[in-house]
Amino acid sequence: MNDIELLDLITNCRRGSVIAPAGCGKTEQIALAVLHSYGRRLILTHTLAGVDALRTRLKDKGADPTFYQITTIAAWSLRIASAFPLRSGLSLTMPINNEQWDTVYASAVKLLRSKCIDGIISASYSGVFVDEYQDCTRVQHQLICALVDLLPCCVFGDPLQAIFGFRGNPLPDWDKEVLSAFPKIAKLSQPHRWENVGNRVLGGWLIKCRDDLNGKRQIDLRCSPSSVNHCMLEGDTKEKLYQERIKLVLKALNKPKEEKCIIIGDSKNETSRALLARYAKASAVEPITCKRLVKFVKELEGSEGLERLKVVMDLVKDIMSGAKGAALTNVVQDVTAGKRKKQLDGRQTACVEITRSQDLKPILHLLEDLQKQQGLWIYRRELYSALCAALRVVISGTHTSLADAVWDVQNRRRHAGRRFAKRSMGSTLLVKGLEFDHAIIVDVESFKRNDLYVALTRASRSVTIISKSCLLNPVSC
Amino acid sequence: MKIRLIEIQNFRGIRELTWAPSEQVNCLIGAGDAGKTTIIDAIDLTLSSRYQTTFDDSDFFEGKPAQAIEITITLGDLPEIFKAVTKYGGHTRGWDAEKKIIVDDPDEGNGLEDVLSVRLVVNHTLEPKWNLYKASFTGDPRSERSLTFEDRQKIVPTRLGVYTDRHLAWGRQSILTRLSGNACVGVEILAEASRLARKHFKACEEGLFKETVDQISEWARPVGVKLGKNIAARLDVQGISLTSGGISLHEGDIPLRLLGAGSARLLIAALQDHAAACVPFALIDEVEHGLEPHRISRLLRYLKSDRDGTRAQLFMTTHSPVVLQELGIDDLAVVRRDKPTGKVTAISAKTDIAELDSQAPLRSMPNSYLARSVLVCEGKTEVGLARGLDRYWVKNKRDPFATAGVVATSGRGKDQAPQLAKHFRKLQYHVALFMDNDKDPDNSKILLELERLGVKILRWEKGKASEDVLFHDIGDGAVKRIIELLKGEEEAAKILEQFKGMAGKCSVSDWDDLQKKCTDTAIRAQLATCAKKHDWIKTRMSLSELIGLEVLGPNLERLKGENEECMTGLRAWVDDE
Repeated sequence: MNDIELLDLITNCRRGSVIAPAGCGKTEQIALAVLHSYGRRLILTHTLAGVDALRTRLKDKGADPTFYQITTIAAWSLRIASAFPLRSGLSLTMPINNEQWDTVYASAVKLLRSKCIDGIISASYSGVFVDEYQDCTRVQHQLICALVDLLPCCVFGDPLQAIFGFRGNPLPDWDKEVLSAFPKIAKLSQPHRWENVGNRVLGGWLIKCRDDLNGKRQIDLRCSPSSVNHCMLEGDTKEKLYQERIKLVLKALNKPKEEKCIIIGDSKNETSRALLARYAKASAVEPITCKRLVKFVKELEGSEGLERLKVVMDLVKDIMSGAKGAALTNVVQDVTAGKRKKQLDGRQTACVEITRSQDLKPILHLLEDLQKQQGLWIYRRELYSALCAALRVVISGTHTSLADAVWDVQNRRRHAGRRFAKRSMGSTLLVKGLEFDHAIIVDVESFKRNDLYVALTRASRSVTIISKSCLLNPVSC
Repeated sequence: MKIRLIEIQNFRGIRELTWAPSEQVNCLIGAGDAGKTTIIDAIDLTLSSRYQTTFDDSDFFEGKPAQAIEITITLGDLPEIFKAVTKYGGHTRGWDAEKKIIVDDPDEGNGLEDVLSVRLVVNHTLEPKWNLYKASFTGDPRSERSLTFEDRQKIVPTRLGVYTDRHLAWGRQSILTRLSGNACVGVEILAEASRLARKHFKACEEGLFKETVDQISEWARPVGVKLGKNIAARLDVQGISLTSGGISLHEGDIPLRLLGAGSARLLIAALQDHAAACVPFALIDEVEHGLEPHRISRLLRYLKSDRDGTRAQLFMTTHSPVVLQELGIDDLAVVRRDKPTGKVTAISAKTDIAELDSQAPLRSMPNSYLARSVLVCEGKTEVGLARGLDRYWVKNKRDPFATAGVVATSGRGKDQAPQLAKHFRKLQYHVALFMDNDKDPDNSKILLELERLGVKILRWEKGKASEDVLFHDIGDGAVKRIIELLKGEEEAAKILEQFKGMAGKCSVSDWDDLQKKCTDTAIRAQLATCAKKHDWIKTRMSLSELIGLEVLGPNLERLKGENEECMTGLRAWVDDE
């Protein structure tokens, strides 16, 4: 099949799916298909970052924006369901949690199945493309199916890149449910991501890895190309292993400054990732429902006096290094005991105030002041800025409770997508769909097949795997 | 596009109106202050969204700006592109054509049409706001959405007001501009034209204002202003700035706007029609303005003729029976205003009364529709009598029927007349039914039904037709006067023969003989019978009018019982209106 035949197939099929392995030019393919289509296409994806990527690509190709609409499944569902509340039964217009979002999807399904807006849908679009289909939850899948009763639709995705989300929401079975609704029409196979940086060998090896993973075979790192480094992790105690691992990570991070490196760790262990980030001087990428932040909010609420200061200082210790928290706490203890006579500086004053009231302003002052300190390293920068933003929101009066503000800020960030530091620490869940120059994979023993595939395919130049064995045997799932 | 529903609140004389107009022609009729023009203005203001329109307190109902003006016009037959989610798809609502109601959300599965509601709101700040209206969006940012400038141009109606000059020039929103595909005359052409004008003026001005200009230089000196040597009269750039509105249609050197009012409107109507594809709505004030009856007919037939479905939906007002005669009953909407509440209704003149051919009365009695009150008479005899009585009463210093807005009309017999009364009553006219009482309508319940609907029933004494009353129940002088009038008729000889031909006990030789004997009871009875049998009065409307004026009028006091009640009832009804 040549390129044109493929485009014809994608744009003319009534229902179809295109399997798109990582780095094989899915975004490009969707953009070309939009240009190749007749009429206006609706392009749905999951994140605003995804929307951005597609929009930028289409803009680069000079596509006329009146011929496509790119949005997230969430935003589209909310817009359509809340526009016709009588038919969708949806009464809320600003969903604030996952249950409410599920209500939004269910309402949109009801609306689409009602036949009430068939004319509006067909007046709006000539067809639909859905990106990252493997990330669709079951109710999102139902929504797309309802839409597809009205419009031709081609979905793009890769079941091997499906990583179970942070919610207990099951994904539809690819073979049974997705393929029966959207028969497979093509599979992309050209590893553009690696070819573009002259690393064709790595691209080819990853295609082979993919086949192995699909065939449930182990991956032997001994027969990998030179851009794949395996660092054997050795040591007889836990402590030693940990030290060794940090050493290897630091060594692997020794790459040209402008090249983006990602350390990929255990999805389930936020704290261990944070710790590794600290030692490796990398920025931790935080999940939306950041446990440490939630814990802080809970502890702060209702605490007072020195206890309150301790809550703040514990957090400071967990998100940055070199803050000299103990010294600060000592000063405050002296002041409280009436022993301190010297003038206090701004940071010390803020700490004293934290012990004296429930006001959030001194906490924000302290955090902002710490940031200016020389030699201080904030390794959980995302957490830091989310907390500062939430504090500002409460202080400005937009929200009354810090918990609500945190949720609001996090939720906004989820849609806005994140910016990565040159050296970042994340998990497969947090980095899927993203591109880096170098990837350093730790905790590979805990990876399932999908985790491993996503982790291996994140970097275009080199992949470093730190493990105790040169044979990768993903946990079966 | 078509207007499906018009809802008005607190606009000028209308506190409230909800009207579902017809798809094609809507001719508004009704009393002078019913609100016809207000409805046309409401459509114009709402769909034109001209931001320079200014409102003042007098635009509010009862002049009270505390209650905001709200005009909502719901549009159906939408262009597909309007329905797109990326356009106004999210604002669509459902139109139930059968029940003539709007449902806030669309439901095409159940036969509702997708519609959009455009709403104009003016509150006490007098700042007009145009938005797309959908009840469930009230109070959220989506209620602020409005049509884009480009799309607003697609719903602007053209209006043929009394002054139509502007449509014969290429100005903003004029028909000519739209026919030219909204093409704008290049600014540079206009600039060059004004430059040429200045140059030409300069060349010709020489000496025209020379004296004055010289004087000015001299007068300036004593006050210390020194003017240069080049002082001259020139065309001012500002004074002659040309806009595209300054370009108009000419015949030779004569601008077509100088055509007679009627011709100009005819021409514009024709242009309008060809622009219909881009102008979905046409508004015409006083459609008969400046036109002779035959030209009205021509214009209306033209506007109504079917031309490949691109006809604009037409809204017009009229006070002309000629216009009504040319229209179908479906085209007519009767506008009524309930003065105390300010509630205005517009009702289609089609009342769906099975027993009545509703188109017929429009053709035969257009005047009745233009009145406030209709006196439905059983036949021509009664119409004539009523008209005669009107003249008699006017002579005796009573108000004429016209003052009360009363028109007498023939109901074509005892069975049709009550149906006609019902028709007008349903259209909320004040109605009285004036009937003989010798025979009852076949539909025995109709009179009771009419009374319930509020129709005043006026009938002679039980068993009597008008002729019986005229020949029997008023004095000898009256009968003699009728005989005199009959004798003066063109067909007097035939009438006499008919009387002689009646097999009766009493015979007469000639008119004089009849004149002598006519006070005799038996002759009177025979005269009444003969008059009924041979339609002496019925076929002669001018005769019955004369009888009303000269016989019935002066003898009203002689009437007794039910006959007297019938006549005092008639007068009281007229005075009541």
